[in-house]
Amino acid sequence: MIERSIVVQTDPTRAFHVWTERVGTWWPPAHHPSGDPAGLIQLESGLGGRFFERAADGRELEIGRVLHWEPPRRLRLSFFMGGGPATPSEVDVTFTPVDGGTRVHICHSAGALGDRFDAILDVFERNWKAVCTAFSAGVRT
Amino acid sequence: MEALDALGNPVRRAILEQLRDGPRSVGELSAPFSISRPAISRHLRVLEDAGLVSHEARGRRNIFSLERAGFAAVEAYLAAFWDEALTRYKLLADNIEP
Repeated sequence: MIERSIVVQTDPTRAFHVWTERVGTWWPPAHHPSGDPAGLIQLESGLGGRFFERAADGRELEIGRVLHWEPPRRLRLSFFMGGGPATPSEVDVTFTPVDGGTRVHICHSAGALGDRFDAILDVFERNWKAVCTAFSAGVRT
Repeated sequence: MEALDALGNPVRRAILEQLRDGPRSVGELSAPFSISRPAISRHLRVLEDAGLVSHEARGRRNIFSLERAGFAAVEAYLAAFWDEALTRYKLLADNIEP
């Protein structure tokens, strides 16, 4: 499980809007399923909305789906990664008003991979929660 | 990312779950499945190439165990992805017009 928390200098409605309707602008270019940074990343609004890339040649490559749609507070997405739609991970994003803007918290968990992935890591990292907390503190602004 | 691709298969994930309880031979790993031992061996090869398991020979048997480095690499890959994604997202969100 990966957890990150940042504060952005805008209200939750705009923070949610930027995450969803402007995803094509901020999604890292090196992580386009097509391998082409020129592909357009899009997220369709609402429950079941598709999260996909429209490649330069017109192909649509699925990245995930909207599992929970609750503007401006919360969004959950399945995230297919290497395994495809049968084995998605999940990203839970919350938008909380704070002094100066909005705290955006993401939790990327194993989802359909189940607790097994986390349990396997637990074998190696019994103090994983402490590591997560340290990471979150490191990126908190 | 090879390890993520390797994890995207339910048989391989079930193999990894068995290995969580400790090292196992190919025979022991095959037992719960109605899949042939050669097929299990192929899955183990994928897992080993992805750095998620390793094996050592004990007599005539190969004994497989989880490889920490492979799992740590998946975590590191995802952490690096989110660090970049959130940096880019913050840059945009901080500068969006009211």
